[in-house]
Amino acid sequence: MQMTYLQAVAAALREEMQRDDKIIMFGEDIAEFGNIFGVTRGFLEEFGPKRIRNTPISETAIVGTALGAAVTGFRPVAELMYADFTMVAFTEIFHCVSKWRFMHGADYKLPMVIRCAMGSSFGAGSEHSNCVESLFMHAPGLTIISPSTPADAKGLLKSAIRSDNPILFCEHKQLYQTKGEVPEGDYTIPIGVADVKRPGKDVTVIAVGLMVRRALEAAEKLEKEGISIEVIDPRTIAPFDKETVFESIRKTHHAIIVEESNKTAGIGAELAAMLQEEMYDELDGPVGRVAALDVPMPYNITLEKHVIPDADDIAKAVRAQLARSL
Amino acid sequence: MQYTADFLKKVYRDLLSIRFFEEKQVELYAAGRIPGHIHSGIGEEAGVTGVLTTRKEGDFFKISHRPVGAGVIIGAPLETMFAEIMGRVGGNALGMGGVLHMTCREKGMIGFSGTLGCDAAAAVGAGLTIQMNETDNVSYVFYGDGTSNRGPLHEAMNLAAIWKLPVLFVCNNNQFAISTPSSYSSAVPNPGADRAAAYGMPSKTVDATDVVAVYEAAKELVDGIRAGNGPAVLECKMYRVRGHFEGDQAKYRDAAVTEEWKKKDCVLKMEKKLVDEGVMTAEEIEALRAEVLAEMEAAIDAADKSPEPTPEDLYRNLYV
Amino acid sequence: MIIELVMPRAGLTMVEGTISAWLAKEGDKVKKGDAIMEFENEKNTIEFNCNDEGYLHITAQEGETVAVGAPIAALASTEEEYKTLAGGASQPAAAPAAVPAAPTAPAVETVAPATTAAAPVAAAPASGRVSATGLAKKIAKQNNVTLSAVKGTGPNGRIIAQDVKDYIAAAASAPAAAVAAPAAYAEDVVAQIPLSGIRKAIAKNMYTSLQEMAQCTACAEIDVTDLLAYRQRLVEATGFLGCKVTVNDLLCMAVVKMLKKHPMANATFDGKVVSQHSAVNLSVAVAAEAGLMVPVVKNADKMNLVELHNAMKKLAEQARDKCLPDGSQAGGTFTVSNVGMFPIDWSTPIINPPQVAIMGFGRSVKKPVVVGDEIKIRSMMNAFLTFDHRVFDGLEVGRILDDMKTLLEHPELITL
Repeated sequence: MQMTYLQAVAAALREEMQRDDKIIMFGEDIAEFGNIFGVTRGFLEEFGPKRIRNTPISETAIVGTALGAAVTGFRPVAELMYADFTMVAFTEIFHCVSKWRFMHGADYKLPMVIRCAMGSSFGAGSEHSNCVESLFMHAPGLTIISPSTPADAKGLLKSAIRSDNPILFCEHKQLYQTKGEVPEGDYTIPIGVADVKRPGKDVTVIAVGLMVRRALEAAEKLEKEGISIEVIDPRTIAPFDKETVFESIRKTHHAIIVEESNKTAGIGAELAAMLQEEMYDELDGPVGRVAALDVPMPYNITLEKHVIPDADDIAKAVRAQLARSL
Repeated sequence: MQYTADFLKKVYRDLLSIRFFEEKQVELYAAGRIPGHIHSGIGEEAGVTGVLTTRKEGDFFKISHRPVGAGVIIGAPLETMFAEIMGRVGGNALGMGGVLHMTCREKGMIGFSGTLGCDAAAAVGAGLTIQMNETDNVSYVFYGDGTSNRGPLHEAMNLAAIWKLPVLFVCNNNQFAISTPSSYSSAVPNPGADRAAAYGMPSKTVDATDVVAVYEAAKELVDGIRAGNGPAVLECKMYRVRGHFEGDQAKYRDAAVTEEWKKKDCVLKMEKKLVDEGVMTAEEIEALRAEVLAEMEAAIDAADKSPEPTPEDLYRNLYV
Repeated sequence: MIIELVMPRAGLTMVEGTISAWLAKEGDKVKKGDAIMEFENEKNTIEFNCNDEGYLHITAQEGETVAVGAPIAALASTEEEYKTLAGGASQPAAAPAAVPAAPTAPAVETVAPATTAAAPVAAAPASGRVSATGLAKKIAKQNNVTLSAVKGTGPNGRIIAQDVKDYIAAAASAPAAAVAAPAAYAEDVVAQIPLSGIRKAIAKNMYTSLQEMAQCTACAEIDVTDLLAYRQRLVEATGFLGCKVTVNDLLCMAVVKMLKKHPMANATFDGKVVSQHSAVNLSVAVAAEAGLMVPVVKNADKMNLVELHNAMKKLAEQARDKCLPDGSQAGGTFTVSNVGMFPIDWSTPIINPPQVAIMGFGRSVKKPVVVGDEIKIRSMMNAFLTFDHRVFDGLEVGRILDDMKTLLEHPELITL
């Protein structure tokens, strides 16, 4: 059935809450208001004020409380509104949530999900547009999910809620209103498995979140030039599904990573380093990176567009990979 | 208030257990058998002992780095605790967590954080679990006068208060955050109790050299929490007898004051009370001391037999 | 980017060179390794191989003599730059877009993917290190291909996988080349190069020559100051002569004169009978990349200097282009080997059987020389003769070198 990404996220939350009464949700403006993007509209009425709770503006307490509830038997879904606000609770996510089980022992399971809305969204500016995956890739123990389609969003959120590991679930603001085919009924998508969004043979393009759509647009353009790119959506950023990417590179011998956050020390930096270490003998050229310019996100919309990669930027990078000095 | 001899003996035994646990840590550390650093809680045992005497089955505990021996009376296995402190695979976290994370999930210990204050909300989360389960349990949070100035603690207190969660915030005010006196870092004389009003919580302060007095103050607050009145703050007045870490000579403070506090030692005070009230003879006290010490030594010997973790162990608890 | 091309230094003593021909035209897109110009120094005609690529703008014309290091042309990286450079029609570069291109977009324009490269660029940069991708290295190792033999067509001349595949395919279609052989160690890449046809022939001739003859070399130092001056005068008469006489032309002409006087050297020997030839069929050693070629100037003794020049030039070109007509290297009676373009003073050339002698010339060097009782700066050059001692003796050799000295020190005798 066709539904938007936002509807898919809401459906996953609703269905899981109906299935398991250990699932509770809290965060800023999620109750009566139904979340600033409308994700949890109607949840308060359906699940009541014990399971659907507003919080004060207290990100550290939101994350910490989720941790405590998770360790003691509940399955909290904490909401941090903008992904940018994860930084307010950075210690809680980085030190506590990610490491709690490692530091305390196998009895300490943290079945908790931290949801946040990330990415550029037409003038949200420097503090409300960040993609934060790369910041948290440095935290072993944390699972980071960044879906690009409604079907993936629903299936992965369900898996995240059912997982006993702590999960940072990054929803893209610009994707909320995009539509896609979502399977009927209860289904999950496994965590840690990448998806080939479009098969191809010349260059492997690993794209994340909104950039998956941009990469698919680039694929259309390039096809007209006789260039065939394979678009891979890792979906789970950490732990990363290396094998799907490796298999693709063994076929194409070229790799480009496309992300929406700043290039320096971004997802692409890590993946490029990993690929040159582990796939050197399969690569027929340097691993490419397409990312946002290394500037804070500008408020001006024209410049915001300029800062973030588009399909043309991706296509150019692909052509450069294949260029030969004839 | 009148107490049975058994009750007082039990309290004394708990007090002694923490004291010896803390002393043994110091010994092991000096002998080079503990990596990293430890934070001895000698002299601060009455605070946690008196408070934890109010506990019951199903309660949750967020202890702090001082005294970590609190875990002993909550019921964490001694051998596991020593193995964790010594970095052995027999520790609760395979020797990966260390002294700041030795714990026991089964007994309601939710773990604690080395970044002080970030774990207060975890105890609030445990309080949320209690409220969801609709039991009369309590989630105990121990923190210090230093942590009382951290933002996350205040976010946690506020959230507990607005949700009326069953949480007891216990501020063990030992008067120093490393070298910084509480009188400098807080504008109020009671950095725990005085701030409770900001969150609409009841509070009490208590002389924490007297374990029975601590118990009585805690019991009053805990009874209210178990009755569904929401969180409260208990501030235990005490003194950090040793340095912040082993090797800290505490030159930044008046040694004469330290000596005065040593005379008010909570263990000596309890022993005097037991003898004065005819609960135990000096010989019985000696025998109990020997018994508890022997337990510690047996646990250390057993922990010492635990092997070092291997590189494979690094990945065992990373993901479920 | 504009790259300036300058007159190269081709030899120790070269201070200037004369452009004899532009092989590439104004505006041509030239590549690294292309021979784009021919120039002459005091001894040789030398090809100028381009070290970069771009659009050629010529600034020194044919016939111009240019000092070493002085500009002769420029290369423009793009057509726009070339237009600006060449035209005076200084067209500015395309106006930049209002918003600069994202830095993620590399400055490479559309290029079709992986197709075969027409004229590959040498992969080895100046450092000598071979640049190749991981995959290219892997394929090369699996197929025992030596990467230094592969031309890179990737960015910056990097060898990419397709280059190695092309190389292997080419080797497969040319069975004589690149037979796989096991590499000894990963670090020590051993290039096993089977002998090509030309190399095999050279190997056989050289080995046979040294095995079957009693070869002996003698050397004489000759003052060529006057010869060089004489040649310069002939260069000044280029218009009249219709060709630009080289030093080599004069040396060969002198050899022909000498041979007319010493028929014993203008001979062949089959082990039993020495055959002296009335005609001088002069074998001229030409260093071609594929191997040594020794084309023969037939009836050199019937030629004047200009005719000899033209004949030798044609043969040298054919040799370098590997298009010598069949039989061009047969029937020689004496060989000349000029190594003066290199910093070589003398060598011991190997006789080209069944001939009985070979004359070599080293470089010319200015030296302090005692003339009368004064030290003067003179240009000196060695002439050296390897002869078959079975056929004649030192006496004859002494006379030959003495005559060579006379001829070269009195260059007017050469053209008499």
